[in-house]
Amino acid sequence: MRKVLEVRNLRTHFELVEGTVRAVDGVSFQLNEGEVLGIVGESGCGKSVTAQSIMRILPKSARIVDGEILFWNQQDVVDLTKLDSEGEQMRNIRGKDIAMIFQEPAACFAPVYTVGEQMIEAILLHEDMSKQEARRLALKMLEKVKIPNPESVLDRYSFQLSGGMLQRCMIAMALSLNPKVLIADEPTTALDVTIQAQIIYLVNQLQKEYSSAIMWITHDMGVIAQISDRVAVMYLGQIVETAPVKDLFRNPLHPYTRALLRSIPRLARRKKKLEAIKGVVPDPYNLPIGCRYHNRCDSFIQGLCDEREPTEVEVDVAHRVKCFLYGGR
Amino acid sequence: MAINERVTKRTKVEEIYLASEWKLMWWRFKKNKLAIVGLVVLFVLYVLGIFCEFFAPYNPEKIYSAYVYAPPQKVHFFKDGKLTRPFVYGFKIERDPQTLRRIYKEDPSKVYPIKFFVRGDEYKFWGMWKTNLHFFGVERGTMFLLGTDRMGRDVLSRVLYGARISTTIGLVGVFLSMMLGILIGGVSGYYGGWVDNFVQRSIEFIRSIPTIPLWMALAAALPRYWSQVKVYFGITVILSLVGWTGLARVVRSKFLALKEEDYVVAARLAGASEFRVIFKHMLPALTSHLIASVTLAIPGMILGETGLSFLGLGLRSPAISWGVLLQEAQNIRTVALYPWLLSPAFFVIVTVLCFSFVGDGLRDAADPYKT
Amino acid sequence: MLTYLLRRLLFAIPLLFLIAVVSFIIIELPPGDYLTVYVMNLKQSGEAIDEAALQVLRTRYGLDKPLLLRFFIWFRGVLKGDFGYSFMWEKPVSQLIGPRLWYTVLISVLATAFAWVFGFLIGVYSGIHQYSIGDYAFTVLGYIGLATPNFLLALILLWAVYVTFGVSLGGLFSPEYANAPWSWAKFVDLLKHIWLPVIVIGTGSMAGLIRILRANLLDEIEKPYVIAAKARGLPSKELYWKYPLRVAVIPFASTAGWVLPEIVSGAVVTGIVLNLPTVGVILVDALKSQDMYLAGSLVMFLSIFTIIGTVISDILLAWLDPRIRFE
Repeated sequence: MRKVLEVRNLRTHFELVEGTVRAVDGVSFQLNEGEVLGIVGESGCGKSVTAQSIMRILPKSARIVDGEILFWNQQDVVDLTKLDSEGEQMRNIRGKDIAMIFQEPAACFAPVYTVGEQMIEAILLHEDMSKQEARRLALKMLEKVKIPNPESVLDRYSFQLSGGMLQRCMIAMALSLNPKVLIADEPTTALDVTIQAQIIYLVNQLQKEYSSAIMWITHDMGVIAQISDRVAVMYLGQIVETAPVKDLFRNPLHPYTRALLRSIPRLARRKKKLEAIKGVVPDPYNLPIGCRYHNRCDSFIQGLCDEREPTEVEVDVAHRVKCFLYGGR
Repeated sequence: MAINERVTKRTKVEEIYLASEWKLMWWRFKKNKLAIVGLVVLFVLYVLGIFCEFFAPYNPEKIYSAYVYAPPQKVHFFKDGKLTRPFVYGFKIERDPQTLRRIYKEDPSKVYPIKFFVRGDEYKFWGMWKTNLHFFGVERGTMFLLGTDRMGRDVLSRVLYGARISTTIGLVGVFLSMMLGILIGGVSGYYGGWVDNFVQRSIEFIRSIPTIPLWMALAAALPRYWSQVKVYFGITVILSLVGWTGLARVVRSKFLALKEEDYVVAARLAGASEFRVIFKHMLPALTSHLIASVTLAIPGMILGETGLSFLGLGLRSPAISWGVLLQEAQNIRTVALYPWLLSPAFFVIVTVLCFSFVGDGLRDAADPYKT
Repeated sequence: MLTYLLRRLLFAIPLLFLIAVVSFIIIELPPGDYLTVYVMNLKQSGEAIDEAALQVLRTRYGLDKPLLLRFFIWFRGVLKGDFGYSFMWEKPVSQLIGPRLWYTVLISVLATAFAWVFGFLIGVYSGIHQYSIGDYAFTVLGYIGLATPNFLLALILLWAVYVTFGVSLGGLFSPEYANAPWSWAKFVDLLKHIWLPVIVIGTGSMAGLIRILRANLLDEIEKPYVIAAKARGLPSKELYWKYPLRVAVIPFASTAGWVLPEIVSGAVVTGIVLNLPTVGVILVDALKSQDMYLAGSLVMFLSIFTIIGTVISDILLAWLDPRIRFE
């Protein structure tokens, strides 16, 4: 398996009037060719900021303060953090080599241009072809994502289409240039459950055909189970556990992962009360000292967890966890 | 110590969670410096207007025929290089040999110290208590800090009396507009359908008529023999005939949004009467927005009255408002010779500016739960 | 689009009729009919009263008939181009308002263009350069522009020009051209005078437009579709022009249509202060002397003008915003 993307010790901070928010604080992971990496965590844990850091489309107040984002493009390796975010090289990667789909499909298409205009624009930005050719490609892609009557959809505006349809259009647009990496930032969250299942099925199918590596961001453990090969669990700007998807569900190690899994309702265990994780996510301006999770953890060790930060340990093959329970001192 | 710090941090966070909506609004509003400045200035202006008899150094109708078109007298703090109680110099009057116009010069031999709480022109405070106490003034000579007009009346006193009418006409007018706006906008937003359609079209129609000509035409129809008070209320009614449309739009769009809110639906499903749903559940939720919109609507009213009175179609002398006072400044040659006649304009602009600052501050603070 | 256009135009017809109704109400509003006022004025000045002429006017405008009938007599006249009789000028209204109305329209259109163009340019600048010195300067100017009524701005500008240059800039023409026939020199003279009222009338609306465009642009810049377009690889320069501005210009355009009533209001008041040959002066005089046919007709024409303006702006809006076109 060859790496396409590797993030090393990424730190992205927001400088706000109220203080500094360390939204991503030392995140490392890698993405291999053709695999689906699920990134899961509560809202505000830094999942989306990680994605935006890779795409270099962070808001003005955010800055990458440390770390590397390595991207294997054919033979060369580029560190995306070193590129000018507005420069030509980054722009060529963005959308062509690394494409992204977003949470609210309806809001991601501008209301004043047709869906087709926006798809064709995306193609023409990166490919040297005529408008007709671009339109033909867009049409072909819409057929690929199983949109009925694609010709008419191209000339529709976003407000005339349903969320599920638009998300298909967005996937078509993202895949039209055959990207090496597809970043999906909660693409099914805003959709109905049935549509959600259709989209996941569609992406699974297309992934076989296009062999793009996918980074799938979600807060939904159920979605993770359906789509990913490997999973990274994030909590407050850090990855606390990485594991192949089966290992993670069978043998969750980090107390946070366990708590997350316990909070999923299951039909089989009907009698048991559904558990919620105690406490609230701490104030982002004042992150806890020591392990970030210690104030909500069941296995909290006084004098250790609230004083030092655990390091990552490899417990099993490709199963890494950041917790004192498994060493890491 | 670290623990202590953490505890205080936590209580601070908790304080934010526990604070009422109004407290949150106030915290947000406080952050806006311009809005605070505006609020303070408005407070001062309203106090001056409400107690204008006391703050004005002279009776606004008192004619000093010896001092027609006298320029503002400067307040001096130094005499012979030494700091003293503030004072003004008296006038030395000469005549221009060609135009025969009076020329006023400072006469250093006449020194009139300014004193606080002096006895001066007699007046009836709020038309009830007879007194002659004034906030400040001179005991001998004259003190025209903003000069005098064509009849030799003190402009400062007239501006302060004008503040009473000009600042309150906005409040009264906006109150009427608010009543109409809530009623019509609320009905339109709550019932929707053809009612909403009808109200919206009517609002569009009213707004497409140029305001000032319409106001002018309506104001001109107020009977001449009406008393000052009647004309005052007549003008406020005319101003609010157009003013309500803006507020009705705000109320309507908020009502449309609120109607879909779960808690409103829940209240309706629980069998609450329409009256109760509207007044108990929906109105409180838009109070803050309403206050902001109302504040932003006041300047339009003040400007409307000023414009109408300036054209001679609104309040008429002997009523004193800033617009009435500005009538004196209609002729550009007069303004060039006696620029202090424009001083009411300064007060109009400051008042309107302050209302915009406060209104903008309120609008930004109106939704405290939005990040 | 065509159906929208037709619907919008059809919708304007009842509006125009309503305008006529409002104008008639204005005409009827003062107590007593005009002839009584007219006769009273004549008596006061001691002039002879021509009973026969009065009778002609009375039957022509149906003054002895009931209200509703009077309205229809008047409305039929309006459709034929007879707007009533001005007792102050002793002339039919239709002969009085022509050129004045056109000057008002000319100045209003120019002021609207001024407000749109500069409002747009400054609004875009302020939105893209948020919190820059230029942005702050325009914000301060905008606040003052909104707070200063037109007539005060006109007075202050006139005064400033008079004091510094010693010239009075009132009027639309220098005295030597005022009654001269049209010529190139007269046109140049017009240009020399017209900029002042245009700026005075346009400034207030411009300030409002700047605020709206700036606020909307700032809102739109943060919208997901902008980030999505950026993620497609669109360079940020194109990004601003192509996406957020394109959307932010919609509320700008919808407000821009509604500044016309405001601008016409401004043109009326400013016309009085600047002594322009617009409808301002005769409207005030007509209202003061209760010459109601003249006053009512003027209000009617100004309203018709703004209605036409809002129709044009609505069509423009539909062209800009597909959401309206496909409603």
